[in-house]
Amino acid sequence: MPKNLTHIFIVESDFTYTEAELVQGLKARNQRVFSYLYDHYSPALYGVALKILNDENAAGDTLQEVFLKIWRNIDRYNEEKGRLFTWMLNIARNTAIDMLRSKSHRLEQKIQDVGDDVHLYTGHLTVYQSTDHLGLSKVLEKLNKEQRIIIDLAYYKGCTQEEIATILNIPLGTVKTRTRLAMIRLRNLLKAL
Amino acid sequence: MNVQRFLSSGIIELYVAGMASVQEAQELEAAMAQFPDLAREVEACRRDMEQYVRLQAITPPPDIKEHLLRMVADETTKYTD
Repeated sequence: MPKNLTHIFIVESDFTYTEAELVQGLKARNQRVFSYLYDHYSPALYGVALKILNDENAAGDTLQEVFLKIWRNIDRYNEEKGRLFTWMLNIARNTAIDMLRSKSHRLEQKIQDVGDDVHLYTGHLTVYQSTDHLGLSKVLEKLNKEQRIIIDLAYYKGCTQEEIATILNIPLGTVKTRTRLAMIRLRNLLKAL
Repeated sequence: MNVQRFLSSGIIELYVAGMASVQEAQELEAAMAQFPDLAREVEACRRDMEQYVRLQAITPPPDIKEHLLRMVADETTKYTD
């Protein structure tokens, strides 16, 4: 795998804003700050949308909607309740999950999508120009398939415990325990990066 | 429920993964407002989850930005007119 692929995402300028400056700039309707925000956060948010929707067109539409929501609703952001990235990430997840549901994806479709995600992690990954897939593959190698699927169904697909129990065909009481173990494993793997 | 019980119950991981029930989430959030240590634990778990998200960042098609900037510029003109 060529090393330069990890550096494909090139930032337009070297200038950096702190999170407080970003929020201030957005609240002041500064379009240059918006452009900077897009350059820095769109790959993460597009990655989220793509993972949830598994469809490049739908993910692109979602990304656009997400950034419009950020622009229009920045006054509703409250820094005392959390970081800007957390707020934007929640908008992205909710918008994409709403889109997924509006497309009346059934439970079976969710399973299919998670299965299909595998191609994102293997040979086809370079097509999407992931900004840091070397770190990702290190994590995924060590997370077993069920752990990865549990985290993805819960966090990305917005599945309930009941849905996860059905999809994985495990008792409802086991879902909580396995999710927790999966999260603990993930956190340890991330710390080891 | 005291802080230690929240920490050992596993609810923090479920909450960050988006799998806590509405009631569990409300209880945890109320406790977080009361106990800074608990709030820090949740935030640490959330940061890790966000790192996992960032690892899966993918550069979007370039035309999206252009379109967005145009829409934002149009909206801003309307507001200021």
